[in-house]
Amino acid sequence: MQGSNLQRIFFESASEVLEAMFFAGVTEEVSQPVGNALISAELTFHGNPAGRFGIQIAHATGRVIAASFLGLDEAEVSEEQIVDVVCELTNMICGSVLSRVEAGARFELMHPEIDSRNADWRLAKNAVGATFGVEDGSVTLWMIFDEIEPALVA
Amino acid sequence: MAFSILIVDDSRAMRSFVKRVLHLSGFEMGTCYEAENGKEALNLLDREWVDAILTDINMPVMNGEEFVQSLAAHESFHTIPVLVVSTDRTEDRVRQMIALGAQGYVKKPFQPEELREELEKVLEVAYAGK
Repeated sequence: MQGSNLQRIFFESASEVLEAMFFAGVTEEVSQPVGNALISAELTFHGNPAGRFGIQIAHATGRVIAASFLGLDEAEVSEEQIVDVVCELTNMICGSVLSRVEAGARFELMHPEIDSRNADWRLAKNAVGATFGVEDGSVTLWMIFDEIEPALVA
Repeated sequence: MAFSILIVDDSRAMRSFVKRVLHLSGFEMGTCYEAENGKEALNLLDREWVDAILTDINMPVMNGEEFVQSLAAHESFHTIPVLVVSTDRTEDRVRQMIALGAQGYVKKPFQPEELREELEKVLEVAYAGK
């Protein structure tokens, strides 16, 4: 699925959100997530299409962007704040992706949650994902549709 | 003139971000109150007066739609200008929230200046000539 429409949308949305709200630049797709301790967050969205969206981000990168978002020094950022910011990042990128996937359509986004199960998103049917560089680390975005969207994964 | 505001969002991080960018953007902010959802915000408004409200839509307990409707129907709170701040970017949703009683709508992600400008715009309209 390399080069798919959705991967392009992922890059545009990650760039838009991370640059505007987290003051962090995003670089082109990298093959593997950077860092060992990864934080995973995901949410369910309803609408047309419906499915799940998630991100994986290195813990160190999560700390950097949380500090930037909250205006704190990295050493001051608590684990709870990192989780809160990563969930908010998930929410905003998902909203941005869906607005590009189906402009004008109504979606309902459920509350994002930290969930280690999404480490296995590659095993899911109808899944699309991409990993980008950000702040000396990486962010992986993935989306699993309840029903296949051929135009998006072409 | 410094304005007191109420930020309603279930994300503590987002409330903190909004408060910070308003401050950094030069908005003249007085007291800044926070609430996690519409119900908590209504309880707070029973005790404190604010000049403007910034609210998310997707929240547990009482969401932004129900909250804006409650404000519009309230004999005192209906005069408080409301700015919706949401990840929902559809024009349909924007129209719906304005029809329910919101005065402005900012889509996430936003630039700090954009948030300040929209907030100042709804304040200017609400308090022009007062």
